[in-house]
Amino acid sequence: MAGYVLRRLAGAVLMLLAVSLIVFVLLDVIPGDAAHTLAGDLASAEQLAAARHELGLDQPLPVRYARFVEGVVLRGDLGASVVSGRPVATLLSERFGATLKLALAALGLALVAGLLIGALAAIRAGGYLDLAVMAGATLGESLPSFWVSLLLIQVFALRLGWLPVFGAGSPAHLVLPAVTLALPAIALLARLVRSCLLDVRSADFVRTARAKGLGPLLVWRDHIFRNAILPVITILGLYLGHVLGGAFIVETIFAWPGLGRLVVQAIFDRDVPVVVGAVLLIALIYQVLNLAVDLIHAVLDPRVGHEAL
Amino acid sequence: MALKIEQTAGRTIGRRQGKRAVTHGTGRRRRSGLRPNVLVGALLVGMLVLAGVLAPLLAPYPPDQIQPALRLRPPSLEHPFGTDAFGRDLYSRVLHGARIALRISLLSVLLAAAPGIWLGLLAGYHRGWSEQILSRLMEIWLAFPGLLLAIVLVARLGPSLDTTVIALGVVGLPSFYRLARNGTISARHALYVEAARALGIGQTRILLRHILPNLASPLIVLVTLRMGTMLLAAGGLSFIGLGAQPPLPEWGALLATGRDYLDTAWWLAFFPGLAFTLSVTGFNLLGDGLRDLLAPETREGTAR
Repeated sequence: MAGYVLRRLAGAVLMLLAVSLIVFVLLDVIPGDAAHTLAGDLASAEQLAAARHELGLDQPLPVRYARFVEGVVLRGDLGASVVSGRPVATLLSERFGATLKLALAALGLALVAGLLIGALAAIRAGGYLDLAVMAGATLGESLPSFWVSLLLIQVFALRLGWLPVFGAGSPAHLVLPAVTLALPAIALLARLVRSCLLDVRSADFVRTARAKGLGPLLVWRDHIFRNAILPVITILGLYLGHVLGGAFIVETIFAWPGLGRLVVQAIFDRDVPVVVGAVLLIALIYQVLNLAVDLIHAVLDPRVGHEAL
Repeated sequence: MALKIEQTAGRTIGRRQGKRAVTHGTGRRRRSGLRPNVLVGALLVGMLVLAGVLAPLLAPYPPDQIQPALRLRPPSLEHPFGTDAFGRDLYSRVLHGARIALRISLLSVLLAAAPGIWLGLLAGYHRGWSEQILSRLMEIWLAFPGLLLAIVLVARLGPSLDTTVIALGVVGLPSFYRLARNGTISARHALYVEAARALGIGQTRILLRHILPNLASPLIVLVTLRMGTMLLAAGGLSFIGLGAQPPLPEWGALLATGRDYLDTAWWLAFFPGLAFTLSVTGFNLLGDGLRDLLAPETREGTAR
């Protein structure tokens, strides 16, 4: 087990190195580099050169990359934002808190609604409720988040005035972005839970458990639930990874001060250190979540465990 | 949106189970014949194709015709989707947007599929160190969650419709690589491949004429599903300003404009969003239906 975790962690570190290198190279020749931002639009050639020197941009790429990695590894220093001058690490930790809050709210909502709807559909399998749930789920997965958020804003913020249009600060600000992010996950989970329950319910081992006289509660707890939950965990892991690192659009629309909005803003500002740092953090979150999902699988499903560990 | 690409992985699992469960739940086992979802999907995609191809004929007005006197008119008989702040007919713009949507999904999937499949065929056929390197490379590729890589690429290349298509093609490549590689690995020792080799047929011909046709079904499914995800991803990018730019009637750009008129002109955001939803639903339904028809055994293979 420990060996497996170590191997996976080593792989994740290599992966992050590769990711940082790619981003570094990709953003190296970004048109209108940070020196312009620092020196201003009307800067003379000398001022630009001075700004470049100050930022270390006059060094060759390998040197700058090596310095960057050295800073990260030795001091946890990701550099400073070109725009605000604040340390990237500080910015990231501020923004990560907001994103985490949003992600957990969406996850909780998706989990509760998805499980409930999916279980209801499974109980009424083949009926009208089931049909409606499946049709809704198909649609729910195809809805663009940027449209859903606009519809929600229109109805609940502008028409009814129940909730704020955008921003952060109060719990009310959390509702619309969390619902927008949760909708596709609810659709996905409802479908998944429904089918897993139906699959497992009629599996041979459940029949056996019933036949040997196990009570319905125990059958559910030890046999049906335990087996049906595995795919749900996989999906939740992927979903959390997405919401923590990929909610660019929803965060941008609702002006939620999270990582996604930070990346988009930094790209518009050509704030390369912030982009690099944020991409690294997002990739790190993603690696950790993948590892966590695999470990949970290994613990819950002995078949996976024996192969992997 | 970023989700869309990531989500496909999950979706495939969900779908796989979902379909099996339908047969359970209803007791109806329809192994052959078209399911309603294929029909609805084909209908929606057909509408998109028709709208895209015939846009210049179907559109009642030129998409860029500015009529200051008619600004921000609600939907009416003359202007079924209303008009925008410059008096341009939204219906015509959405129709022309279908043309762009079609171009985005076709080109970005082609950009992802052609090199992805070819590399996958080569890697699966040869195995060895070159396959190892390629596969590690693809894993690094996939370590960028969702649209992150596309966003970085757009930042590098500058936002426009073309760079969006390129970025999405690059982002979508590994899933085609993986599917082609896995299929080739299991096919390369098949009797028909051994026979072709024994006859002295060249490698390129074996890959393209003997192995590729056998991978056609899962590839067609993946292509169909990806057309939807690419369309959605491109829309998301242009919505936040990192894709097609405003005068262009791309749906995401139209939505971004509509966002500024939410409380005065609801139609500006409503109709482009509807067009998006119907098109993406179409691709998803069609892809799912095709999977059930063509390649039920590869349901897991298309994940990511």
